[in-house]
Amino acid sequence: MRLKEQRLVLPARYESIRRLCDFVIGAAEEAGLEGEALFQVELAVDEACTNIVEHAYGRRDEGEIQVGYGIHREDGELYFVVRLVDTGDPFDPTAVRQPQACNGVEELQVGGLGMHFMREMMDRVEFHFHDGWNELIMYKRLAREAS
Amino acid sequence: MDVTIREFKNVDLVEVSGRVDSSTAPRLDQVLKGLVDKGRSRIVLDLHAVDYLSSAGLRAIISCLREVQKPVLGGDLRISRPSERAMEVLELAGLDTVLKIYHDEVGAVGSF
Repeated sequence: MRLKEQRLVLPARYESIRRLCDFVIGAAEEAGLEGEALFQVELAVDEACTNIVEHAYGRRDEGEIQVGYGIHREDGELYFVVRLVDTGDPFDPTAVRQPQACNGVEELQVGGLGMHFMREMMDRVEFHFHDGWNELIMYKRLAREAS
Repeated sequence: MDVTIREFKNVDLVEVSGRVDSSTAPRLDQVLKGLVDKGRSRIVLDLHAVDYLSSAGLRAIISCLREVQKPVLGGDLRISRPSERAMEVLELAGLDTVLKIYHDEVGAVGSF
């Protein structure tokens, strides 16, 4: 499968998120994803970018989000991969509480929904922290490679 | 995203169409807060024309739900005709167990 790897860098603002999503979805479609799977990738990328704007950069209207995509092969499986990079505050995903079942509006947990969606929509989510920058990689299974 | 409000005697029907994401959700939040500020606490949110809903939209919905359910207001926010995508997101967030969801407008408005 041929998919030319590309990257897009935009200011870390809410207004950039739609463009970043469209950039990734165009490639995901080219890679063969459609319908529900395409929606899942879009939602995951949307939530990831929103988290970067709100938490990595604290809505300070500064910094950039770099988004890239490609195809990854592993154990006979093909994945559409999305990679997001920011230079905001370090992020610890283990510190985000997963939403729990709740019995009423008082117990509703709003924080952590974005991460929850990312993990539910994608097949694998990885967080990497480097000196001064954060990297998020998300994988969506495409197909099994022909043997 | 477009929002249309139809005011009935005791209930407001808020019809949302298009995308509800981090850039449009603040407007939905503002509309819902505007209703609550006017003392309107029985709200039906019709989502049949929502083709995209992210957690930002859910935050606006939850924020309104918490306000209208306060004892001093004694109201509720209910969902009418969620689109397939909207329903999927509501279920993913577990909101289908907290919100009353109706598959027709008349039923939702009449439930109050």
